[in-house]
Amino acid sequence: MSMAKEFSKGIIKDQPVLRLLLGLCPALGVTGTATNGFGMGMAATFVLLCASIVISLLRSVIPKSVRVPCFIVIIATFVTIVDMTMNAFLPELHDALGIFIPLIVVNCLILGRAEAFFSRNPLHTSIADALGMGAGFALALTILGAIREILGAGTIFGVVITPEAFEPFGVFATPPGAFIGLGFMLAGMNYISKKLKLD
Amino acid sequence: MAYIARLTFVLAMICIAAAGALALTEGATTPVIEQRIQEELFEAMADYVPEADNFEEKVVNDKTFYIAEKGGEEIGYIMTASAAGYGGPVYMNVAVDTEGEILAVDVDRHTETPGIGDVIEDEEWLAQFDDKTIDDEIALEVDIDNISGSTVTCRAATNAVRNAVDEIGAEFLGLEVAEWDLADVEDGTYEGTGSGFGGDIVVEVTVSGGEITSIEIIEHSETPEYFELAKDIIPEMIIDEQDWDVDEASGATMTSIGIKDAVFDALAQ
Amino acid sequence: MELLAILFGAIFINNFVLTRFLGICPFLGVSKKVETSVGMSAAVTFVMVMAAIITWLIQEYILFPLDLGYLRTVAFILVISSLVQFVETVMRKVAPTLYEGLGIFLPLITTNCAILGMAILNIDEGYNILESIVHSIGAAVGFAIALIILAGIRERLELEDTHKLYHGAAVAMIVAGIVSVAFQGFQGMI
Repeated sequence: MSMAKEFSKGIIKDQPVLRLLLGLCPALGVTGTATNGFGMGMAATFVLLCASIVISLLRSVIPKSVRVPCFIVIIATFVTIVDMTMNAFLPELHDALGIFIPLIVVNCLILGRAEAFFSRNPLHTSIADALGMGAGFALALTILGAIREILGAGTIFGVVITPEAFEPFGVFATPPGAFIGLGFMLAGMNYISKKLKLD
Repeated sequence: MAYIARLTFVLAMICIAAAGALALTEGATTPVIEQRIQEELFEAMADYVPEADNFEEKVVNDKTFYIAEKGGEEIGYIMTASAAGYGGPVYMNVAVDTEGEILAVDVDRHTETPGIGDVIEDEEWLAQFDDKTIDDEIALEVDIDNISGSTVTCRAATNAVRNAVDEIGAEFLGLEVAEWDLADVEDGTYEGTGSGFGGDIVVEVTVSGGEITSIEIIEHSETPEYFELAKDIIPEMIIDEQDWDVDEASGATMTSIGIKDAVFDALAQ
Repeated sequence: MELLAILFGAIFINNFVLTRFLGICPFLGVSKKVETSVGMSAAVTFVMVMAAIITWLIQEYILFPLDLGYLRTVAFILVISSLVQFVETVMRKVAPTLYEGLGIFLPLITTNCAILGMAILNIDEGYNILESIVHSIGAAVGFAIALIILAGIRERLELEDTHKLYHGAAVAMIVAGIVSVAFQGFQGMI
């Protein structure tokens, strides 16, 4: 498979959030605004990328029976680095994402890719896969964040875009809005899958 | 054996490398984080008291005050105080000058329902506090307008501001705070008001021989189910302990606080 | 009183699944049948309480005194995954019948973010050991309630004629949203 194909499968065909249903906790928890969704997507992409490099390079060194603890330590290390760096340089985003930053560790997306892909493939395809999955994850979170922000507050990335007469649906800013918004997005993805004949 | 040794070695090396990488990152980021927190605090305070050139921290009884100074002279006082809201405490930052006039009021943080409770962040609503002084009542629906539909949050924010002003007044401006001393209360019946969930709660407290002998709730507009939970147990506990500051009844916190405040209001002087 | 507030807060007001969005993956994965969701809830409760105790001890007696706060995430997740492994092994040897019921859920628990989330929240909130245990019980009960409610609804939904685009996860999300609306009503209870 070519690198481009490895990359692009993460965006539609194996879309992590909408088709594989991975990483739903942050997808619901931080998508109150498009900015937060995008920030979480970038943080997870960074961890995916670093983990793909290290795990792919060490794949012949790590014995099979201890691979899961090794992956967990490697992933947790990069997550903590992201956590501390964000706290230092992007404090507002760090506050908004809160507990979901350390919880990137248990994002099934990352451990799943480590186990199924990075530990079995050479460096360049692993990187392409990590970037594709990260981009797909970030895309899904940004779209959900944008939908909830537009409907819930009438803004996108913090910029007011709706006419003054628009009364925001407060419910989209609250937890129920996250579930319902994601439900509609999943249905939309089912429609796209059907049109593109992915199944 | 060699296999186990290899497992242990690989796992140990990865852990050591991880700990090393984290120690390095932590060393690099900690000073930045600490400096940022300090700067943010000073920036926020400079917003409240623009003339100040220095802020001094003062901690009294676990409460943190900041003294705004200009050329070494005290020109204002800042503190964060809280009061119980709908989804938890509402924290407000309040700055008061040396004359007792409010310089600035701002929402520090809260966990109220988005779209309902966050109306208190509205600048126009917050601006109501700007011309108040320490001698004003600062009470919801007295000199602070309510926002209908968000009464509980508005009251929490207002009470938090009142608390901050009282604390600053007592600490720096020599304000007399109402004190609770049963020994000073003469025998008789006293009336007091406190605010609960649905509005004012009025109680009648009877004191005889330096002891509270009965507490009667003569007026309230609480939700009946919740009122039931608090109406007997709180007065009972107060009479038992001869102190107003008893534990709140679980499930009826706001009502309990209202009754306690009313008793305090009746007897404190 | 404080403990009761923590317990009910974790169950109803800040329900781990419906308000804090922790543990969504198992929430969707095993909520198709009431029976499996009861099994999952039991396994989660068990690991949750043990994890609360162990992570609290590690924070208090190792990480905090040695000023190693930055190793928290790494340490906690390692502890939780070893704990799950350990429980699995012990259960298989000591209580094979229990293992048959819960065993298949145990490997799923390592990546259940409700467990790690609960451990981190305990530290962030500054809970003592007793409060941590109560909080973990509340978290587990809250998780169980949400899971079992959703499973009950989904069992019935299977028989309904849902639009094919909404079949499966999509309608489960919307149902979860409606249940979450109901849980919003608990706000202000404490």
